Formats: sequence, C-alpha cells, structure tokens
Amino acid sequence: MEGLGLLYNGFVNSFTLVNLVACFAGALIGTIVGVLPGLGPTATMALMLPFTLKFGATTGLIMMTGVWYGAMYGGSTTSILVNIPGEAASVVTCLDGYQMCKKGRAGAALALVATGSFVAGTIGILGLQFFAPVLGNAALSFGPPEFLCFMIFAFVLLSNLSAEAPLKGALMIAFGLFLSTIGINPMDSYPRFTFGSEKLMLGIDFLPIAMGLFGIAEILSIALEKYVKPQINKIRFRDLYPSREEVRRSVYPTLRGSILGFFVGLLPGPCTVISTFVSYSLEKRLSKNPEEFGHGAVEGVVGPESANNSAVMGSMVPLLTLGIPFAAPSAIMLAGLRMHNVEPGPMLFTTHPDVFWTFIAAMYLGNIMLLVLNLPLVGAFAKIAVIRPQILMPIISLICLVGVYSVRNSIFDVWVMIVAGVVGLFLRKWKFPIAPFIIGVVLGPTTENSLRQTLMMFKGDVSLVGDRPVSLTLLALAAAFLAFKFAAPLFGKKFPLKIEEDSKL
Amino acid sequence: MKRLFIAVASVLWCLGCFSSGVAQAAEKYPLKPIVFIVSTEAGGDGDILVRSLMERVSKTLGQPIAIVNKPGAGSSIGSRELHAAKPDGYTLGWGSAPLITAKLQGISPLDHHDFTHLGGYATFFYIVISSTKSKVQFNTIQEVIAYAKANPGKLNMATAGVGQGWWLAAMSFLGGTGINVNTIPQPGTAAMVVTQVAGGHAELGVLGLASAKGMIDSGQVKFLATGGEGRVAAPYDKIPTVKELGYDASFESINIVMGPPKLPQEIVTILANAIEKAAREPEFIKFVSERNARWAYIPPAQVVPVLDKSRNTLREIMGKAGILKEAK
Repeated sequence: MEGLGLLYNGFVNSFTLVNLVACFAGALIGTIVGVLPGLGPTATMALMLPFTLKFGATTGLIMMTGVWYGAMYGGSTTSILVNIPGEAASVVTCLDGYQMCKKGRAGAALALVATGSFVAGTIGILGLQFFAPVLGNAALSFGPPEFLCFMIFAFVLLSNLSAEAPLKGALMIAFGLFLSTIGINPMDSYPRFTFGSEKLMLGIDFLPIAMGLFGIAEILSIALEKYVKPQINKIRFRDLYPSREEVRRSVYPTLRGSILGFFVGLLPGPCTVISTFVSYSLEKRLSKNPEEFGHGAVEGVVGPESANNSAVMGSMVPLLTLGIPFAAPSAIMLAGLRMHNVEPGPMLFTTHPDVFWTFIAAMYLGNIMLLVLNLPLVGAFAKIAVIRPQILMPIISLICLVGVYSVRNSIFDVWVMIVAGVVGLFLRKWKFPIAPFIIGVVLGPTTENSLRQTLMMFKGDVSLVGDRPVSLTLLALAAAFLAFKFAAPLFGKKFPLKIEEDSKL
Repeated sequence: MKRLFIAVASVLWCLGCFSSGVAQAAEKYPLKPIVFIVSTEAGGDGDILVRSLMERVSKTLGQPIAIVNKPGAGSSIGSRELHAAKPDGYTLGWGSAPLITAKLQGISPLDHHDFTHLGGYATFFYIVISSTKSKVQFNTIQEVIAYAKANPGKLNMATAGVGQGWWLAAMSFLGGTGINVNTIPQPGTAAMVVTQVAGGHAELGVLGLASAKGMIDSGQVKFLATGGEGRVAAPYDKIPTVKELGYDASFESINIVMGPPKLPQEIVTILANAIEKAAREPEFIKFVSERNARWAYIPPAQVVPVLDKSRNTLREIMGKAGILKEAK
C-alpha cells in the first residue's frame, strides 16, 4: 500500500495556498459556468489555460479539473429550476428535475443532486486512485468494434426511454441521427447536407438544439397558456430539504450512477452526456414504478447527476494513464500539461508521480469545497422557482439567447435554438418523446465513425467480430435486453403504453 | 420633455465614447485581446507549439491572445473562419501542411496564397509506429515493407482524418515505399492513432513523435522509422529515416502564423517582429526540440515561396496516392 504513502504526500502538496486557491477558484468558476446556460466547461477551460501557465503543471491541472467538475455540479441547477440544461450533460436532469420543481420539490431536488454529486465524485476519485493503470490498459483494448457494439448496446438500453410510444421514439432517434450527420465528416473531411453553406459545414451543435427543445419550448408553451393570476407560493422550510422518503429512494440510484458514470467516462466522445442517458435508462428499468419517470421521479434526477460527476473522473483515467484525451475538456488539460512538459501517459508514474497524487488529493478537497459551496445555495436557488413566470421567462429567454451565442459566437446557433424551440413546442403537442432525439444527435457521430472504422478493419467481413470477446459480450448483453423486453409480457409484467398529458418524455 | 433630453444626451454621449474608441484604435495596436484560431485539436503537436509561441508574443504585445481550437476537415474549417474574419489584426490563425493540400484535394477553395503571412517557426516530421499487441508484429521497418508487398491490403494502418497533416504524412509514406495497406482514418489527429496501435487494433500508425512518445517509452508501441530529412536526436538516434533506406518518402509540415487577407502593413510589421522575437527566444527553441519538432524560423516574405516549393512535393505525393483533385 505504498499508494497511501504517496497519497499522504499528495495531500501535503495540495495544502499549499496556491493549490487550494486554484482548486476553489476552479470549482467556483465551474459552478457558475455550469449554471449559466450556453457557456460550457470546455470553452472556459480553454480561456483559462494561458492563465494557468503561470503556475506549475499540477496547479493548472487542479484548477481546470475543478472547472469541469464544478460545471457538472452547477449544470443541474437551471435544469431543475427552469428546464434549461446548463450544459450538455444536464439535459437528462431536465426530464424529471423540472417536474419535481413544478411539484414544489425544487429545493429537495437541488439538495439531493448536490449530495449525489459529492458521493459520485468521491467514488470516482477512489476509482481513479486505485484502478487507474489497470483501467487505462483496459481502455486501450476498446477498439472500433467494441465501441460499435457498445453503441448498439446503448441504443437497446436507451430504447426504453420511449417505451410508451416506440414508433415515435424510433422516428425521433432516426431524426436525431440524421441531424448529427450534417456537416463535415471528421473521418474523410467530406461535407454532407451542407448545401454549400459555410454555416452548415460546422454542423449543428448539440447545445443549441437541447436548449431550444427544452428551454425555449417550455417558455413558448407557458406563453401559450391562459393567463393565470400569479400565486405567491410561500416556500416552506420543508420544501427546501428532501423528505426521508426521497432520501431513501436516492441512495441506490446515486451509487449505481456513480459506478456506471465512472466506467462510461472511460470511453471517447461526449462521455459525460452519454453517462447521464445510460443512468436514466437504467434507473427507469430498475424502478418499480417506471411510469413515474417523466413526472418527477427522484431516481431519474440523482442517478444521472451522479453519473456525470464520476464520468469526469473516469475521463481522467485515459488522460493520465495513456496521455489520450477522449473528451474535449481532457484535450485542453492535455495541452496544459504538455505546455509544462509533463507528458501524461504510462510514464507519468515514473517521471512525475507527484502530479498524479497531488491531483488526486486536491480533487478530494475540491469535492468537499463544492458540497460546502452548493448546499447552502439550495435555498436561494429554490426561491427562483417561485418567481412569477411573467418576470422569470423573459429573463430566462435573454440568458438563453446570450448563452447560446457565447458557445461559438454564431448567430446561426441562436436561430437553431429558436427553431428547435418551435419544433419542440409542436413535438410536445403531438406527444413525441424528445429524449430519443437527443440520444440520436449525441450518439450519432461516435456510432457512425465506429461503424465505418469497424467495417474498414474487417474489410466488410462482419464475422470477424467473433474474434473479439468484448464485442461479443456486449452484443450478447444487447440481445439479452431485447429478449427480455419481448419475453417479459409473457411473465405478466406490463409496460405502460400511453403517454400522459404532461409527460415530458 | 426631461426624458427626451436625457435620452438624446445619452445617445450622443455613447456616440462620443465609440468615436473616441475608433480614433484610439488607429494609434497603437493592439488595444484589446487577440483571438487566435488553431485549426487542429487542443493538446496536439501543432497546438502545443503555437500556444507556447503565442504566450511569448502576447508578452511582447501586452495583450492576451486567446487560443480557440476549431479542428475539422483537414484544418479547413479553421482556415475558412480565419479567411472570413475582419482584417483588423484582432483575429489571427495557425497554418500547416494541410493548408496547402486542402485546395489540392478539393476540400477547400483556399490555400496559402489567400492569407497574409506573419512567419513560420517550426517543422514537424512524422514517425511510423507498430503495435505490440496485434496478430502480426514487426521489429523493423524493412519487415513492414516486405510483408506489405507480399500481402497487399492486409495490414491495417491507423491514420489521422483525411486531409489532415499526419494523413498526408501517411500518404507520403505509402506512396514513397509503394506499399498497399488498409488505411483507417481516425477522427481527429494523433491521439486516436496511437490509441488504435497501442490497443492492437491496427498494426501500423503514422503520426508525430510527440504524441506517441509516452507509448514508445513504456513499450506499448514500437518506433520503427522516422519520415523526416534526418534522424531524431538521442535516445532515438538508432531509428532510421525512411529516406536513408532508399525510399522517396520524406514529409515535413511547416507551421506558420497567418492573418486574414489584406491585413494593414503596420499591423503586419508589429506582429511579424513580435513573432520573430518570440521564435528566437532560447527557451522557445529548446521547447521546440523537446516537443520533437525542428526549429526553423521563416520570415514572412519567404513563407509563400517556401510553401510553394512544399506544394510541388505534396502534389506529387497526392498524385501517387490518387487523391489529387485540384479545386476550381
């Protein structure tokens, strides 16, 4: 257990004033960035990179991970309060979090999310600390066929998100996949569906779509409602904190979300977003009342939010042990480390072990800092939920418009968001589930690239997948899930077949 | 009436502020932060060097330089954006070999003639790595070539995205040695290439040394050959170059700084001087060699001729690889 000795050294190093301030600053900035819709952790980290160069490699790494991590904490705030995803990984939280808010449980949701994120973060850091080298090598063995099979498995797993209306759900996934192909293909640089427009060549970014489908659509649908005399709801103290029942229901989803998120974080691509979807789907499958999902099931809020926090730590594994950035924020951190001539990868433990251990220690501290930062704010944030829509909605619209512009400095994105908002409004009216569409958009690029690479590797001979045990296992799991779904009615388990009035799925 | 007065007064006051701002802008550039578009991914070889360079330039200019990564489409997304930016000196960008070839390949209508040049600072060469986990393994580059000639199309080679710098390097290697392998382009640049090779999913890979160094040193991949003009410094000086083995497969990518077309001359002079000063700093030169690139300062006036020469070589490489498609 010489690791413990090194960890102790790490703690000693991280207690320097510079590192502590960096950690706190990163966490604070990250939380703010997470709360503000539009501005995401990647852009913030990129802006902060030159600033962190003045300090050492470790301090820079601590500060930037703090930002990413804090954004995962803060992103859920607007998702729960006003149905606007603070950033991409908080989209799923909108589904049930906002419903909880409408029921007056906003404070409870926020508090549970904060604690869940803390637990998940701790589990993630533990995983990173003990299993990093092992997992790093395991991540290497995941090639294109394994990713493809994982994507197939993910699609099967996520299919239950629209169990109530499978045909509409399938249509939405297909539409999402199509939308994800617009732009220049990263593998062969060929423009698709761009109609010669330079704007379309950049592709349609995911965040404007999500903000439009959830936030703007919500604002529009509230605007279309009949005028209701504003009720000033008094916030009871009880509403600020979760009931015993809610806490009890959150324990297992938090743990499951943490472990699941950590492993999903090992994969390339938008791992934090994927982890939230997979967690939500898993919770819905395991729940005794799946029909509650979409109406304020607390499991559907804490599971995904825990998952995205531990996914951040999971994503650090390939970065630190292999030197490979699988997600956009990891790439920024890689740039930061390399600027200091610290080469993350298998040699990190021999050349710069202090970087790794100080980082781990600082993450433990940062986790605590974030919890202390977020919990007291729950009360303040919960009060936002009761502001009259007449005042709240215009402010939110403004924040959305500015926020989405800030992502790519592109008016095109603003239009995408507005159009998505109008489309979202109609999708709701016609009871089309929105979550599958988001899945299609998010998973589309990775699935397509994996499929093409797999076919290239096998030269079209798909039977070669038989040589790869991991792929076969994933395919078998997918088949098992499908079989269960079709066989279950034989055993008496019913699946709800109607979408109810105000279901947000 | 009072309100009207206040409104008019504030409008005039704002106008006054703006106009004084405009007057100031003519005096001393730069007055506000500069945006620097890097058309490759964060953390990649070209990105790291240019960040270091721009950090020094920003010290000279006294304004922060915000680096924005816009990868994709063989660097043409970033180049297009730079080309469309206002030539006021507050948007600059990075360029390398793909800038020349994007037009030759038909991906982009722009090439190095369409930008204002501010200087070149380093050259990158490629390396060839092989896997220690794949079914077929190689110890020397000669084995690779022999096997590939005997079994055309059987080996898998991971390369960067089509049109990207390391993909051009791979084409140069394949065209120069005349072997036929199954190329599998990865989205992005070097990071995924080394992952595929290290994981045994591809037998070979072509990329830059900096990204593969960690894997080479830890023994996860084998460093077989380098594709530049000369061998790499120790501890890799035993590795042969493809050129010395008799193959016409040398590829080097020159990294440059550029701005939108029609940049005013005073701004060009200020920037070119700052870049030259930064590039000649001993610490930067040391950093370049630590990142396994070759330091080579090229003054702005010579950038276009040097790149034109490079273009001829690249045209040949692409012709051999069958991807030449001059855009109209």
